Amino acid sequence: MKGFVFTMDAVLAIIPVIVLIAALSQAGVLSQGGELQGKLMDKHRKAADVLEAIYASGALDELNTSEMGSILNSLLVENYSYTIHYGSREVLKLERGNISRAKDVVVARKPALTYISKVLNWTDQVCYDARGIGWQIYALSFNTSNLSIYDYWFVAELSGASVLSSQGDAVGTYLNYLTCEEVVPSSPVLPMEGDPLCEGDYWYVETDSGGTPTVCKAKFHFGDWNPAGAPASWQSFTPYYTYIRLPGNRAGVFYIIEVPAGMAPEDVVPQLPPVKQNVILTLKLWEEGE
Amino acid sequence: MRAFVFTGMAFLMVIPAVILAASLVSMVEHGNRATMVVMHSDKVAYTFTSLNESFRDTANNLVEVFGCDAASIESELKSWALYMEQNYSAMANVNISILRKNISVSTDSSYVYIKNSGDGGIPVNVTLPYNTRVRFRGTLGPLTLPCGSS
Repeated sequence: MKGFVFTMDAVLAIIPVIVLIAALSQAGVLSQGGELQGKLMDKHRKAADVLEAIYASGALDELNTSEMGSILNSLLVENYSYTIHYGSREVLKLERGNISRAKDVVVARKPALTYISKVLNWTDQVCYDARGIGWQIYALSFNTSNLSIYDYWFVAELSGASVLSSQGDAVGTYLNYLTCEEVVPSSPVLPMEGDPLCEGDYWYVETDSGGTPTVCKAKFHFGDWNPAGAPASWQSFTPYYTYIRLPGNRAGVFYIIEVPAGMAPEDVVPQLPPVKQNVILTLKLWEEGE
Repeated sequence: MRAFVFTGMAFLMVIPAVILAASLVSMVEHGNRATMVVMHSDKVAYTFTSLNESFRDTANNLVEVFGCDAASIESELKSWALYMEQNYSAMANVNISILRKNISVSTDSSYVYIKNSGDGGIPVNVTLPYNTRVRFRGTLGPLTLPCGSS
């Protein structure tokens, strides 16, 4: 009987120990959950901070993907993968591994304004006046950005009595700078048989009631002379020089316009100041699991 | 009798252990809940900050495009507010409520004044769809932006 009592006591005495062990082990699991939550919170904050850094850099205004990429690469030193979407359009992607094996995917979103149409350069000033012999030359320069994201349009607003065709009007784009005197008709660099304004399938033309072209738009690259001689040389992040030759009895205002890729010609409007629209910027970060 | 006394003692010993265990578990759970509240508060505050920046950017852009045309700016700002309520709230998984009908834009040909139709800024509420207790209340503006040449 005495032995039984001691045994019972021992069993009862073990109970608090068991309860403590159980509680401690449970606390371990719970704290591990808390730790994971904390890590996730850190990642969410990191995503929001990176997005803020990109926003503060001004890279969003111009949709400057190379600037965005360099900010992401400098801030995300770990093995993160990322994508950036502008609205539903993916503009930047870096994958280190497979998203299906990601430990967790964190997303930060921010409303932002982006240009939907931006006049990069325009002119109504003649840069070489040879009206005495029937010509006037205009010049424009511009830099391309990422051609997978943007399209570039040449727009001519024309006025004057004469129709253009067969009068030696032409437009040509070059990779190197030329003086305006170098593109007169007698020069070989923009010959009479160069790309005439408003003629050809690649021109989107608006006419007045008499059928005379008043606004002509063409998306780069168009024709043999835009850029000169080598369509393959039309590339991203490159300076170009466009020259326009008009007959002396016409006047024009010429624009180079940057728009998001795929924009319809009727939506390309030579409007100052730039047209912007609200979009939602999404940064998605993930890291492949072990 | 002796057995009863010892058993009672043992049970008494269990009580502090149970209390200790319960408080341990409660502390960890409380910590987790606090973490979640911080995460949620962060989210609604970040949403509001983004919204406020977007409001200012949009207002500046509209003044750049429309100048002192208060009616056009007001109409576009109301569209912006609707866009944010519908698109941004859906994408960011937050509830955004902007007092759109109270957006008031006026001008004296030199400046554009963007404010609530009463006074002050335009009230905004940001909550989480799954936890309305975490709430952020703020105002957009008021803004005074130069629009004229003088």
